Amino acid sequence: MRRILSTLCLALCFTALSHSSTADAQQAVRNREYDIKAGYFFFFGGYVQWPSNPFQGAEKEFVIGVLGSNPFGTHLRPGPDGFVIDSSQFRNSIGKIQRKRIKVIEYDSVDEFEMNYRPCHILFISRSSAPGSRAETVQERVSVALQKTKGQPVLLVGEAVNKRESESIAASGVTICYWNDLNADRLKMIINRQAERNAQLTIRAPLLHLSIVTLL
Amino acid sequence: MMQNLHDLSIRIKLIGSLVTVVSVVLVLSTVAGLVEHYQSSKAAMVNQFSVLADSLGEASTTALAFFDDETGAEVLASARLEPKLVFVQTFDSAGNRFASYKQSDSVSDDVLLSPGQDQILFKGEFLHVSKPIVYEDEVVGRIYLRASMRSLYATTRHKVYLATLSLLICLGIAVLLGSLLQRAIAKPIQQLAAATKKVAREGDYSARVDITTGDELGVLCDGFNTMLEQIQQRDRELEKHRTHLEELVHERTSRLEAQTQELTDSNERLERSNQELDDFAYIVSHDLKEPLRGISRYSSFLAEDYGDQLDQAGHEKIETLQRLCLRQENLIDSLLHYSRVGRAEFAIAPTDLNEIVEQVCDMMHVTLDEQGVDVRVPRPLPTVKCDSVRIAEVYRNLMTNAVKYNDKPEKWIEIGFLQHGQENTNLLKQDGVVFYVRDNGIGIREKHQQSVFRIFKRLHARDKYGGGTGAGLTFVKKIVERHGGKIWLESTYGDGTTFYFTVEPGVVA
Repeated sequence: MRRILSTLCLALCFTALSHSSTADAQQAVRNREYDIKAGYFFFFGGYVQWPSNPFQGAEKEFVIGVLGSNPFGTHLRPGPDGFVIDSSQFRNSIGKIQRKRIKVIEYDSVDEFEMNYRPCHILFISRSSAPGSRAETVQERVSVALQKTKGQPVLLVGEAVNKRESESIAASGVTICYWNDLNADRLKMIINRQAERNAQLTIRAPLLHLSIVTLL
Repeated sequence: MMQNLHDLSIRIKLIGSLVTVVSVVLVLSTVAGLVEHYQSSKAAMVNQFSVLADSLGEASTTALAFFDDETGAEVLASARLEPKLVFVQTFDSAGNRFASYKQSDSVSDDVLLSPGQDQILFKGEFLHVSKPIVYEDEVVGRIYLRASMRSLYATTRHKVYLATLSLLICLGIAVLLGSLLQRAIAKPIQQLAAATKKVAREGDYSARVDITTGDELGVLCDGFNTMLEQIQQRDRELEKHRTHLEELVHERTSRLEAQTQELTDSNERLERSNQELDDFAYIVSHDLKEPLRGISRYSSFLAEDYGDQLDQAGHEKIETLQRLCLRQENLIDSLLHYSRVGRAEFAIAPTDLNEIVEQVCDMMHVTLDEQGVDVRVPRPLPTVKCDSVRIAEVYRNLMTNAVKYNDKPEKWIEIGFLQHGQENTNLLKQDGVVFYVRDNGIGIREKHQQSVFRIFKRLHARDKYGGGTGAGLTFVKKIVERHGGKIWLESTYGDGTTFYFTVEPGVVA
C-alpha cells in the first residue's frame, strides 16, 4: 500500500512538474510565434501586391481581419492612431503598413464573421477558437472565409500545427498557411499560387524563393 | 664639400644638374602618380564594396524579414564572384549573427565594426564595411563585409617597381643625353679653359680655340682668339721697338764713348799743354830774370861809375832803364807766382775765414789806417775747407783792389757771404755759400767787367791808382778755380763793385 502510495505521489509530482514545464514551453513558443507572425503582416504589406482600390477605404487603412481567437496579444495592439505592431523584429513599433494606418477587425466566431464581414487586405484565420464562444474547427473557419471572400482581393493567411495540416488548408484555397517546423525550429509557410491568382494578388519573387516557403 | 663641388668640371656639373632635374621631376611625378593611383584605387574600392554591401544587404532583406538564414546564406554565397571579398556576415535586427560567407575556412569571422551607421575602415590588409539593411525605412538587419587589399597592395607594389625601373631607365637616358648635350656647351668651355691655362702657365700666346658656333660661347671664343691675336701683334711690335731701342742705345752709347774718349784725350792734351805752359812760364820767367838782373846791375854800375860823365838826360835814361827793369822783374815775378799757383799742391783744411780776414787786415793795417777805410764784417764768416794761405791771398788781393780803386772820401769795404734761401738774390746756386767783397769804389764799366780777370790787364794808366802789374785778379781767379769755385762781379760804374766767389769743398760750420 505504502509502496503504491509513494509511487502514485511520485507519478503525480512528475506529471504535475512535466505538465507545468510543457505548458511554459508552449507558452514561450507561442509568444515567439505570434511575435514573428505579427511582424510578418508588415512584410506581407510589402511583398504582396494588391490590385488598386480593392475595396472602399483601402487607400487610407490597411485592414487586417482576425477570424477566431486573436493570438497576437500585445504584439498587435491598439495605438494612438490605429493599431501598432510590436515585434522583436523591429526596434520601434510599426504603426503603418504600406504607409497606411493599421486597422484590425476581430471576428470571434464564424457566425459573427458571416454577419459582420467587412473587406480587408489580410484575413488571418486563427488556429484556435476564441474563448467564450462556440468551439469551431479550423476547417469551419477556413471554409466560411473562403466562401465569404471568394473573388475578392484578400490575402488569406492560415496557420496549422504541422505541415500536413498546413498543406490541406492551403490546398483548400488559403493563399498562405504557416506551419511550425519543430525540427528546424523554424516557422515555415506554404503558398497556394492558384489561390494567389484567384484573389488577383501578386506575391513578389523574393518571398516565393525563400527556403521556408513551399509552393503548392 | 662645397668647395669640392665648386671645383668639379663643368661637364660633371652639367650632367649632374640635368640628372638632378630629371630625377627630381621623375621622382615627384612618379610619387604623385603612385599616391594618386593608390588613393583613387582605395576610393574605387570603397565605392565598389560599399555598393556591394548595399546590394548584398538588399538581397538579404527578404531572408532577414522571414528569418530564412538558409536563403540568407545562399544570397551571400554569390559574393564568391568577387575574389577580393573574404568575409561577409549579416545580422538580424537584434544584432544576432544571421548568415555568413567565408572565402575559405581559414578566414577569421571576427567582426571589427559595431552596429550603427555606414562604416568604412581600412585596417590591416583589409577594407571593412558595415551597413544597416533597411526595408521600407525599417532597419531589419546589418551587413558586414571584409575585402582583402592584397591585390591593391600587389598592384601598387608592381607599379612602384615599374616606376623605379622607368626612373632608372630615364636616369640612364638623362645621363646619356646629358653627356651628349653637354658636349655642345662643355667642350668649348673646356677648350677655352685649356687654352687659357696654356697661355697663363706657359705664356704661349699662339694658343687658339677652334670653335665656330654662333652662340655666346662662339662669341667668347672669338673674342679670346682676337685678344690673343692682338697680344701677339703687340708683342711683335714691342719686340721690334725693343730691338730698335737697343740699336739706338748701342749707337748712342758708342757715340758717347767716343766723345768721352775724345774729351779725355783732349783733357789730357790740355793738362799736358797746361803743364808744359806752366813749366815754360816758370823756366822762361826764371831764365828771363837772370839777364834782367844783369841789366839792372849794370845800369846801377853805369850810374855809379859813370854818373859824373852823364848829363841830366843820361841820368834820366838810366833811371828809366832801371824802372823798366824793375817793372820787368815785377812782371816776371807775377808770372812766376802765377805759374806757382797753377803748379803747387793745395793744403786743404778747415779754415776759419774770420781769422783769415783778421790776418789780412793786420797785414794791410798801415794802408787801411792811412786811407781811413772802414772794413765791415756784418756777421761772422763760416769755417770753410780750403787752403788758408791761398784764400788769404784772395781776400788780400780783393781788399787791396777795393782800397786802391776808390776815390771816395769815406771808403769802406764789406766782407760777407750769402747763403741759399737767406737773401733775395739770384746769384746763388741751389746750395752752398757765396762769399763777397764789396766796396764803394770807382766801379767797373760793364764793357770791362769780363776782361778784368785777364793777366796783366790794367784798365787805367800805368801810374794811376798806385800802379801794379795787373795780375792780382788773375791769381784770385786761378785760386778760386783751383778750389773748384767760380768768381764773378757786379758793379755800377762810379758807385762800387762787388766780387763774388764760391769754394767747392764747401762750408764746414
